[in-house]
Amino acid sequence: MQIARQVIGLLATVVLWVGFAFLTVLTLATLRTRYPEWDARLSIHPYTTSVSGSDIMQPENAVWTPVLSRTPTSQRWVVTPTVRPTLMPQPSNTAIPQSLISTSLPVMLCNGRAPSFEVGDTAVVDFNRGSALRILNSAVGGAMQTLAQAYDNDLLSIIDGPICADNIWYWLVIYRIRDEQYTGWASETDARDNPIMCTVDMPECRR
Amino acid sequence: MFQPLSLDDLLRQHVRSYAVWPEPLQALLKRSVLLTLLTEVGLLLAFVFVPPNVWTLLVVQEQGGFFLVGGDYLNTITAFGYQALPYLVLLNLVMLFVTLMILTLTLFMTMPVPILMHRLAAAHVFPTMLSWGSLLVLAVCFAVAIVINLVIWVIIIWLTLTVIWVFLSSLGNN
Repeated sequence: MQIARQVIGLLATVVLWVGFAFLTVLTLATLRTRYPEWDARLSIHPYTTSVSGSDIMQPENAVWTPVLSRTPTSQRWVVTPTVRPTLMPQPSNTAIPQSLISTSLPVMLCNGRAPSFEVGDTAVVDFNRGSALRILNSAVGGAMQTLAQAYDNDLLSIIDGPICADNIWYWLVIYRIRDEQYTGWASETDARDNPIMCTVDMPECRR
Repeated sequence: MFQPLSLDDLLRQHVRSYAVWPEPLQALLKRSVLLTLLTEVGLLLAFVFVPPNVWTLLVVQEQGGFFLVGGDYLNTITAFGYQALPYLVLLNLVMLFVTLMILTLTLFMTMPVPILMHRLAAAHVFPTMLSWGSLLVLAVCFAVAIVINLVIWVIIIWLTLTVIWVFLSSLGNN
């Protein structure tokens, strides 16, 4: 009886160690994803980075232009491929319909969603429930990074981005309020994928 | 050369001290180890699977709604908690390792172990209690803010209804 209990105990311990290994990998991966400063701490080569090939679709006739950007105060540089590839003219005997070209272009997705804006656009904050959109010093790091809060119908000038952080598109925007001006990161949608930033043409885009 | 040996020395050499005899963990200690294991795994799973937006964006952006007072105070707490979370998680990961070591050496608490393991099993509960205690403090802060705001809302609604009632009463008297 005692031996049977010990065998069961041994099996349970083995299962727990396997679970521990799995949980450790999962936890460290989550830490590195959510806390960029921990990424450098946990990495063996903190000053090198890699881009997964599966994350980038490279069509034959497209040229990617990486944009090197960083947050206003952070020393961490982020390489962001541009959303729209530049098409190189290809000699061809047959004309390619424009609709086919546009549908074949690769689109960067964040949580399955393509960005709704381009650099240079102006966005309108849409909050009808008295809430506010935080303008953050860094796209990651949470509320501690807040520079200012933008309210319903406030205008944001998009100057860079987007960056996909925590499954949300973030844009580097300029927010002017009275005599003050803030440059920081603002989320395009909320966590439930409802838009917060709308186009000027449709300022009430929130569902 | 033959050395005479007293019975006392003979006993000391061949019988281990009663104090260091291996012994199975007590029932209370077993329960505390299992509870610690569950809480450590629970916190790690929560960290991995609960989206960070739930802890930051949603609360942060809901100002001006239910929270009439204490919104900034809650934001500060949330932000502090979010920044402290990685340290708590790593602490839990290390403590989970210690828990598994205890469970391995005791063959899931079926084997007798030396007194040192008993002490380790008792001591390793405290770091986990610390991390859960800090989460509890956050939860209490939230609860206090919610209760205060609820009371304010009740007072506002009560005052509004009283004013309406007085107004309607004065109309009835006229």
